[in-house]
Amino acid sequence: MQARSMKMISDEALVRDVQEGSISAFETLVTRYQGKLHSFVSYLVRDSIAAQDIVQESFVSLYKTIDRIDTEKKFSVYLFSMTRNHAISYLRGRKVHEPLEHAMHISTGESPEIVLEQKDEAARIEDALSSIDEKFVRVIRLYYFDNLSYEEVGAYLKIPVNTVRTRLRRAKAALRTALETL
Amino acid sequence: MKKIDVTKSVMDSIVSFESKRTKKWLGILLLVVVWILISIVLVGVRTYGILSERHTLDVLEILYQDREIIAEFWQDTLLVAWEEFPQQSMFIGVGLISILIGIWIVTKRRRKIMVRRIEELAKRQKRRNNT
Repeated sequence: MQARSMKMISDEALVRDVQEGSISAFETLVTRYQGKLHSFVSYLVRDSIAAQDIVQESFVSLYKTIDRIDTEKKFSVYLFSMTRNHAISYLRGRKVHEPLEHAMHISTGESPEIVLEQKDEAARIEDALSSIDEKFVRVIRLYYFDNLSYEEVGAYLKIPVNTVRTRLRRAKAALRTALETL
Repeated sequence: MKKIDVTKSVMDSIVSFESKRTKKWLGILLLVVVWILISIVLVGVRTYGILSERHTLDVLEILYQDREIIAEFWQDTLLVAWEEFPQQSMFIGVGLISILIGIWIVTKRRRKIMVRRIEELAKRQKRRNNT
């Protein structure tokens, strides 16, 4: 199948094609979904580089299990839930290593007081975030935590760039108020 | 959306995985088919040896010279053939041929898929060598 025509084919048809032995059909799926998956995983794990590894792993496991996919069901749902599982496994693994990394962090530089203060501050922000509107939280997380640009946040949330700006301004105001009341 | 491109690294892993998987599958298939073919040949040679020892082929040749006899006494001819032929070897031979046919039918779809994958892998390899 030609690359141009592959772009127009549905995901399910591409999966069927991969099941019939086409490797280039799988390449089309990778090209089609890598950006969306990366944003999705970045949002979950809050680490762009780790997200890239997770996306890569997910595609490889997808290929290994592609023969078992039911093409009557929506492929994107399967792909996103599989990737989410990979991200969750990563987060679980990270939790195990975190205490050690944390201890190393303290021993190499900052004093325990500073680290505690930073932890307190982070907890306060998290508390404040949990009290404001979810749509504001998403914009703040994507823009400040994931370092996405206005355009990227807009593309991810499927909203215009100007809406991102407005929403971010309102989100900051809401967060400030929430922090003051805490 | 942040632009990332994992296509190359993903496809490299896929190609490497697929090459190994295809080689393994073809290797196993080839091994099984060759083993069955060798067994069939061995059983054939053994059957021929037994038939020659018993001079069964000579009897059959005499019968074949006059086909009218076979047409008239076909039941007796069959009985002679049945009794003269080494039945155990024949059963093994027929069994092996049936297994071979079975494998050929069962793997038909898979072989088609494998051929397509091999073609694509070869194309990718060629493209990689050219660049």
